[in-house]
Amino acid sequence: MLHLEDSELLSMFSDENSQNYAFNLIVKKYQQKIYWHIRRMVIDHDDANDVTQNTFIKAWKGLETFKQEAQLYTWLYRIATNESINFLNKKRKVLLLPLIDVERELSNKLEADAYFSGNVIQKKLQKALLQLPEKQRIVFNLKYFEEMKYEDMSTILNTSVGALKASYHIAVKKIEEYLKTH
Amino acid sequence: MKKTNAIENIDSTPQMLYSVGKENPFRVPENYFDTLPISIANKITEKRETSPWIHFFLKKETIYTVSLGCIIAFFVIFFPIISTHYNDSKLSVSDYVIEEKYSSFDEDMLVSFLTENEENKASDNDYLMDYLLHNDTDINLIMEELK
Repeated sequence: MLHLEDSELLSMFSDENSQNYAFNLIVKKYQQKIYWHIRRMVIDHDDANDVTQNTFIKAWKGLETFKQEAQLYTWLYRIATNESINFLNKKRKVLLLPLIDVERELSNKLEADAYFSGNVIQKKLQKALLQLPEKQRIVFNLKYFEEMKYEDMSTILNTSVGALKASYHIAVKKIEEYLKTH
Repeated sequence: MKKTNAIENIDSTPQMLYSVGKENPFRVPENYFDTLPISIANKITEKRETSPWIHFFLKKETIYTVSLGCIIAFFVIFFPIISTHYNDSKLSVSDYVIEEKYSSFDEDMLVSFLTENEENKASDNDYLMDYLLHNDTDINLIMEELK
């Protein structure tokens, strides 16, 4: 597979003749990162699949007006994060569930998920993550699993680096506490 | 120095989490990432083929504008009808009298009523004269009495 720089992909996309091909390359380049980011948020594979597809459809619609000064990958992460949060909010509205019950529902899904192959401690970590507020969970996932720089995270979440570090620190403390007590 | 240590402490991952590891515990169906770009491309093609008019009419702004237009159109079309009906109900008695059917009815009634009274008066006088003649009464005497 071709590994082109984002700037090359974007200039290909701006040409109508190579637009579809360029977008296909963008999807192939980022699909896994975006999917896993979404999957950690929504837990279920089918939901993650829907949210991933919506993310790329939105990206396709917005790419024409995308400002090239911004990084393509942080922009895609931003769309993915917003789509995941919207998906969970919609779920709350449809099921008329408070915040905690949605996380409990996700925790139950984790138990029955055919596509979860983690061991007991990994399952416990995922359950601990579901106890966290949405934003802390996103920060923890991006830092711990994806090893993303705080600066990039700051662009995606529109939050200062200091606040993100504090958020990660609080998340870690809460997870430690959960792992000790459960 | 203290500040730097505090930031490093915040940024560090505790030992307990290292024991969990960073391995991804989630899985996907076989060949999922081979088929995902095709699914996305198909969805985009579907969206492109859907008439732009449908997208236009599904937009919130369009729905609000069309609704407002319908309300305005309703008033523009039905207001003259409603106002005519309302004005009709507000016609005064004089308006009714001016109308031919009512004025002709009133005229006849009035004429018949007036002539009826005249006739009644005449018949009363005749009856009185007959009575006086029949009883052979002297009219001059009555006139004298009335004075």
